Amino acid sequence: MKKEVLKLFKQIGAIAIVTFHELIREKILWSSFLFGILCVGLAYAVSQLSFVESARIALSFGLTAVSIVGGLISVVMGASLIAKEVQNRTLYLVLTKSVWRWQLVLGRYLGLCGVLVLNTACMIFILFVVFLFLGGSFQIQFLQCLLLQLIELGILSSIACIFSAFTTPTLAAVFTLGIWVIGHAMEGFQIVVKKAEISGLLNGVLNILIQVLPDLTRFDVKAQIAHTLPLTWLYTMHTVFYGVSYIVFALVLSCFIFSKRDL
Amino acid sequence: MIMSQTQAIIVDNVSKKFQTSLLKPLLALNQVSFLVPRGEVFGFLGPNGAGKTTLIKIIVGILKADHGKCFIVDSQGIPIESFKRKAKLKLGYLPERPYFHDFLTTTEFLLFHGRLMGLPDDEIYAKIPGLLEKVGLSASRHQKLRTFSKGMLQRIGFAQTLLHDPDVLVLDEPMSGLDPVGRREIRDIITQISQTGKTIFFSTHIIHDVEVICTTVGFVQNGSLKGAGNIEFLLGKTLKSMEVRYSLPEKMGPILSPLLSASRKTMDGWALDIESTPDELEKKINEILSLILQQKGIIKSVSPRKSTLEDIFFEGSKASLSGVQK
Repeated sequence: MKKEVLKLFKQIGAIAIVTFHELIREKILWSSFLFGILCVGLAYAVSQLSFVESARIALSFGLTAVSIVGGLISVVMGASLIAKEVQNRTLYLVLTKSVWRWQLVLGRYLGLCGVLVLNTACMIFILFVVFLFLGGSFQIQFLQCLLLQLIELGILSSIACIFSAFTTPTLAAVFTLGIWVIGHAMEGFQIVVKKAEISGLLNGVLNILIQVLPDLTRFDVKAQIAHTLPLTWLYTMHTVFYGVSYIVFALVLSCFIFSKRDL
Repeated sequence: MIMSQTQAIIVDNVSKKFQTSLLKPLLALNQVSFLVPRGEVFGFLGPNGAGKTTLIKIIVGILKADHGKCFIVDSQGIPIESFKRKAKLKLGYLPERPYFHDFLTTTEFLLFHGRLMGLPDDEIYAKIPGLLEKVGLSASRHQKLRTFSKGMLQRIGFAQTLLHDPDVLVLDEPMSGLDPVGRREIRDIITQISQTGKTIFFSTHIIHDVEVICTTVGFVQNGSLKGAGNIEFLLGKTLKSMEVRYSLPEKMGPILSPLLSASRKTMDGWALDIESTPDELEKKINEILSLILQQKGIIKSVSPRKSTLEDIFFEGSKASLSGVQK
């Protein structure tokens, strides 16, 4: 039994490694990464416009850039994660091995996560070098921010995975992008729904949407970091739990959809 | 459907529809049933769009049939449904076009597929040199697949099918798109593998390939199986005609007898093609031979002219295969 479980994980690992290899070669990754680095450089330039708090301005600007670049990579690469395997027909050979379809989805997802972790870690590292150079000092909140940023990217990728399991990469990217935007406007969306006093079916539908769509505003702690506002570990862990639960739900859904798909 | 240890693949009443439009689904396979004998090379013939690849996808467990089932029979004679993981351990599959992760090197590619089969890394590394030797790619061990020619890709594809030493190989048009040298190489590899006792099931629309390497054959057309069976049996069953070569004494010609009137002149006498149904052919030949002997002629040769697979494929497949295993 234990051996069988180990074998399942080894197979998922093999798929994740190949996916990582595949994605790391993508031009979109490198151009996004370069764009991110440019933004961090720009953050330094912008910070020079101010005589005070230049380090915090650079940090705030840089974190926004890292978040946007990471999000774009998640959307674009996540959207083609499974669809590309279907289009390229490389999955035929994989699925004729003793591999379940859910293992393929999970392996591909983990491969993408590897790329996102590497990409985000590199950009954050460069940003912090700039931050320290401008006179900033290390705070533990940076790690909390990095963790929440990665979880948000994980959620976006898992949503992209759902769409990628049944539609084309372009449509999957459009849908995921929409959810990303809505997810970041969720707080405002909730207030509008409450205040508008909508009744009946529409209210029900909107409330279901609020429950189902991810609330990405929870992961946005850039303001707390830039202005040294308190960010408790309890909040961080609570948000991580929410994010991981959402990822699990999204992955289960994508595995289910993909397992039912005729190839 | 008879299930026994002598079978390797069982295709039992398989049907598959695709919803290509809302109103009219496309019937890709219609109640297809046949058996693939263990240890034989089975050629699955059919024109483009006949349903060959769909059936192969069902056999290798990528697609599920709407009706019917496919089984892979293990060495103990136990049939396992083809989409089950246990069945996949018995199978090696080479897709129609070599769609591989081409950013990998030969070794990385084999390592990846070996891991997917659950093989330990040290076992995979130990097998790689032998497999590459077998498919003639020893010199390309560290080469990336994207630099490979189509023939080389097919050969590395073969290597991955053999990695876990499966009982059954399923090859989807393994020779399509290859030049004559490449085709010959792949044919040689198939022949070589078949000599190790493995069952090989391959689809093609190239009849010559089937005639050269297959022992059994199945014909599919418009999603329906037109027939399947041993090649020799099929060709024997569709005996077309007999040719009798003879000579007659000086100044005598075949015109003298209505039975010989269709003869044509050859360098050293006459030749007559006798066409008839298999049942009547023997009787007719006896009559003609007796007549020639009565006229003091000399019989030089009597040779059968059998249909080729091509004849069966193009003209007679429907009629001539009736009665063969279906």
